[in-house]
Amino acid sequence: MKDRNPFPGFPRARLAVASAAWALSGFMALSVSAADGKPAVDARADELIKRMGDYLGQAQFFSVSAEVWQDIQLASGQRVQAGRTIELQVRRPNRLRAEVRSTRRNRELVCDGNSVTLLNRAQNFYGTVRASGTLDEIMDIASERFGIAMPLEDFIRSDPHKDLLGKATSGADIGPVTVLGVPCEHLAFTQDNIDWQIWIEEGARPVPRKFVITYKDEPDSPQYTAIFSNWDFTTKLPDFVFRFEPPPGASKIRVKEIRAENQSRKKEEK
Amino acid sequence: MNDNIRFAQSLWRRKAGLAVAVGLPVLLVGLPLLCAESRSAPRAAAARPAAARPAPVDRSSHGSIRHVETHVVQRPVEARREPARPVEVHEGAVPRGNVWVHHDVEADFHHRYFWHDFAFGRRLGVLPLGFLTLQIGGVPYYYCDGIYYQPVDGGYQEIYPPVGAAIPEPPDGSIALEAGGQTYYYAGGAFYVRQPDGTYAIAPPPMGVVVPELPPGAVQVSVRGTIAYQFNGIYYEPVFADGVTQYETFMP
Repeated sequence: MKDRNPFPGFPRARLAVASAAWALSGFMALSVSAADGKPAVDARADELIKRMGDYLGQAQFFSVSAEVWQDIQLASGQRVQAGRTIELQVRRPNRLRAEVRSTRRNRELVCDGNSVTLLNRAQNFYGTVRASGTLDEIMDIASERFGIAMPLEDFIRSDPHKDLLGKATSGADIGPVTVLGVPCEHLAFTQDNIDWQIWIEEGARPVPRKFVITYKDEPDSPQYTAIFSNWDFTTKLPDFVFRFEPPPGASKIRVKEIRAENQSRKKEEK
Repeated sequence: MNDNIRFAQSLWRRKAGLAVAVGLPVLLVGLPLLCAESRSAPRAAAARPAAARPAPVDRSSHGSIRHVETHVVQRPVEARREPARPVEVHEGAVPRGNVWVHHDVEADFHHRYFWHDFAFGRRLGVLPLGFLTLQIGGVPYYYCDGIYYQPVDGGYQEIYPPVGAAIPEPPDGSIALEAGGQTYYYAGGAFYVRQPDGTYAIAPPPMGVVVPELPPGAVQVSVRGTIAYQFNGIYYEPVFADGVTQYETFMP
């Protein structure tokens, strides 16, 4: 039986190459636009982050505890986990208190609306810098001028949705799961150097219950894990909670401004 | 016979056409994806500090997406990666002489090195295994992993790191610091600078440089009413730098 060639004069093999190349130019264009296009964050994942962000951002005050586990690589190459607890108290527009405790350190950070004070309880040192404005503005001053990153800052800011998804390149709703018995929705996101996941409580109170960052660009991709508990949006937080009183015998030390090159690097990153 | 050859040639052409039709799409679709991935890879590599570079990032301490690109906390960099002895977990504060020396970097775990056990004036009957013999201005010194010794009656005595001493490589656990355009390797209260011949010599300590930990045996003093530490004639002022307690060198 003789095959029919619809394009007499063209050998069949050349015809196959030509049609494959034509078809694939379309595939190429599609894949390039997918690589360069807008972040592919699943609508449901985006909606859940927005819901959580609105809930936290609109809360006038709240307290929460977090247990944090952080991968650390010893010089021998062995990986271990270091744990600590964080007690966070927030009162908008400009009050914050965070206490970080582990067996090896105990540090406190207090923001009374006009200043930020750091306390190193182990050595009984404290230092204060002036910083006023909203919590967002105070946290910007603290990080940009003094290199101080507030613990779990992403959940304190006024618009967590914007800060969390600003650099996400993809995001997906993995599905329902429980965290310490609490029904949650598990979301997973990627961005250039990290992957991160969040478990948001289902129901009327969409608060984060677990948060994991995987640092993909570091050797062996260490992880930071925070498990949240004791979310409290009802107990009022009076002024004295955010008033810093130096412990007996504490020494006041300077808070150094970060180096000029760090500041210019941060400006470039913005 | 000719029919068989023609059949075989036709079969080969069909197979070749099929292979091209399947293989080329895979190649053309795969290449852009690979390129897309490689676009992000160099950033990742660039963010990873080389072993001898200063001020690496410890982003994993603060757990923030917003600060994931920022350099917030300085973490000690080991100039040499291979530990010469087992690593011990440090319990945060260890008494040395008459002061408590803390290591208040964000990492909970501190690697303990040989020179952490330095005690000025301590006498030994024999030198540790692997010691080096040095001559500085015609005076004999001995060196082992960050600690310097001089001969005394019937033995050896631990001494402060002598300026001018040159060793083949910085001690284990030394920290790379930039000051005045110069890279220093800091360990046990000594600031080493790489020499043209490849050795590392102790240089006069740079002033105004921030180190993450005090030299072992630093003594707490009061300078103009403020707390400071003194070691080998150099003063260290505790400061909060990058949000954690570190120490800045100064001369009163």
